[in-house]
Amino acid sequence: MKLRVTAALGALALCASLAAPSAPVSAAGDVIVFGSPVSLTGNLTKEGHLTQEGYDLWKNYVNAHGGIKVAGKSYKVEIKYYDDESKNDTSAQLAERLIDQDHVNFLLGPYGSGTSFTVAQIAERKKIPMVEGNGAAEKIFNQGFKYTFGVLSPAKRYLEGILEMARAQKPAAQTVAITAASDAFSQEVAAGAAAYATSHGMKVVYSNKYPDTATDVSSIISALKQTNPDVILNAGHLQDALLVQKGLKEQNVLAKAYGYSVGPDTPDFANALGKDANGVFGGAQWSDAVKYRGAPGFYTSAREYAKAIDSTYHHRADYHNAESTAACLAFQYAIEQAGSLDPAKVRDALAKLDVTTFYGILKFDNRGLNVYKPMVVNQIQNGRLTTVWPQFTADGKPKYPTLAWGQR
Amino acid sequence: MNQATLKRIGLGGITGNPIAFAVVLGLMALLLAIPLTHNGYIEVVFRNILMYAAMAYGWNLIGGYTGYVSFGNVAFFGIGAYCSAVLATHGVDNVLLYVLLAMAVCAAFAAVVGFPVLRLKGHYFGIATLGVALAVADIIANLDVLGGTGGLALHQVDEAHFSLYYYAMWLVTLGSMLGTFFIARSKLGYAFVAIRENEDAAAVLGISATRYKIVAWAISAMMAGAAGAVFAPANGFIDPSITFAIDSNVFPIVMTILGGIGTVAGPFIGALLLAGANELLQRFFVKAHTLFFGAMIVLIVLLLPRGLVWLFGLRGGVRAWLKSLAVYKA
Repeated sequence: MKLRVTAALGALALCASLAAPSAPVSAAGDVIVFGSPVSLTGNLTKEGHLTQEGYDLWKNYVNAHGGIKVAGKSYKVEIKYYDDESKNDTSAQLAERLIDQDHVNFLLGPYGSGTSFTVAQIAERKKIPMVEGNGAAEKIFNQGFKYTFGVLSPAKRYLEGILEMARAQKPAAQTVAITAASDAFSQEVAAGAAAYATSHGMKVVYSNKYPDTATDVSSIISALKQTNPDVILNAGHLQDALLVQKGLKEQNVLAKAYGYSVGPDTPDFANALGKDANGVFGGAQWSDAVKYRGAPGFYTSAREYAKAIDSTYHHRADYHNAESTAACLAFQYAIEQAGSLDPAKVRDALAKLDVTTFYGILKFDNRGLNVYKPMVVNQIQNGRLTTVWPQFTADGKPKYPTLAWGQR
Repeated sequence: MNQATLKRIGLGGITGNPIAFAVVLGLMALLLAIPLTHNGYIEVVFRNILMYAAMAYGWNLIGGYTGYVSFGNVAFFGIGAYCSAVLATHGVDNVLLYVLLAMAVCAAFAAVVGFPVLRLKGHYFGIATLGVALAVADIIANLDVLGGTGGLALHQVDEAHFSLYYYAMWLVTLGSMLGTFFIARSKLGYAFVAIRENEDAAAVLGISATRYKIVAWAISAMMAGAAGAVFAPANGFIDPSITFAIDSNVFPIVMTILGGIGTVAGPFIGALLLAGANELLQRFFVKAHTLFFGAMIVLIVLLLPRGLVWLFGLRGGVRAWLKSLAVYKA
């Protein structure tokens, strides 16, 4: 009987504790609270952590330099994180919690296009502005959302630079094989690359997709090998890049260039593959070789930013770091220009934003997408990431064609 | 079948412990008030609890009452969600129609697939249903009319009317719960239990096992499908990774087992406990919550092998409980 009562009481207590309001994060005082559900576990963990680093670096800088000025008053910055487990629906639910329970002022995006899409929906419904730096699928920006802004170049541009570079080399690349994970971002990347190739006289000799949770892509690689392409491209994330690059080596697939949408830029890629990572190209939103002169209020050059990442997190600055920080910067400048923390006013300021930062220009088209910033191409040369394209920002020449396996 | 046998099969009768059921009905009544007092996020949390409960009721009917452990019920949840999405993209903006279509499509699909699959028994049935779920997810992911892997966005009602989805989910769950209660007490329910206890003996008694199994799976599918049909517009966006998530497949099973398999109160209690605990853990342990969550499930299975509902019928307090554990381990 006692147990029975305990069980019934337990159920009631659970209900009550769930329904109890948790205290808002913002302590008394002048604090602007940002909220972000990020991938701290799940298949996008690595990228999620890089995102968080980008956010935190900005927060620490701003707080150490007097905070954000709003109508003559200084505000410190706080960021509340939750783990979305790399799941789209969890991310949306957590965004709802950040807004309703934690009363955050603004949202910083999660990692990934799927999660950004579901969170964008919440932002729209609750009329809380979100700036995201990690969801590049254009689908997000074609819904007519008014409260979501993306600081990155759209997905379809990720692999274009590699093709452009490969066409300009000798011997010029003429055929391309594209493998892609099944998620929305990767599909847009692949479609963009294929469209670029065909409209520039290249032939797509192989194109296939695999589930984004795949742990074995060997059958795709052996089919790809038969077509003997000049350029092999993969549209996916870090895990895909590792999987494909290992598979290409195992089956000794030779091409003039190997390119990935996400992977080569993250420090883990070269660490995991060693010499086999050499020669690989990666499309990137940013690299520490870009030569923008940023507005005051934060590190003004890519080099300075890279140095700060290195001294804080002890790894080379990755473009995921930079684009995440850029999302924060968009808020910083927009809030200062709005002179208010009112969500609608900050939204309007974001829509009008036009500022150059260490990351590049931050300016949004009427869909909320930053179409004004070009992408770069990096290549791993002797274990070191070198920016090789476009030529005007490059800090090295592309090594092309890629050497045979074992000689890299 | 006499009362004593029934007591042994179900716990305190074919519908489970009556006090537990009364408690659950009381909690359901309380949940009706959530949108009035806790608009917004808390409402979403409880809507998800209700959703899992409805899916758990669906699973309980085939896995708990009929004894056929299905690993494929997420397929119906997904199909239900896609029914809504298809209607929504054609301009239909009515949750009731979403639910009705989803129930019809899911029942039909379960009947067609069940015809061959339900001839399998035990592990073979489980594996076949898992195959069905994976195949459905893969087919939808490759159909561009359904958005492929990119998914589909649904029009949502505005913030002021958002509780509509909560009440819709509440009704789906109540329907699944009462449906289970009345089915369990009807001839249908006795047929299901007869099949679970001994399918050959049931056949000898004149119960057409295949027909009843298909009926059980079809009703089970309708419950999961209805939950999916409300989830889709409430979430506003669906894609195969959301609608066919492993969580949506495994959680309802674990919830039913934790709550009490083959009872009317069990799925709801399991859903409330598991989804609620997951939520609280996530709030307090940003990084390690999955670890605690796993540990909690293991502990409950070890300490309450018969499910939480069983506690309601337990006579003799802690001592009897400890004794029961020893029996279980032997």
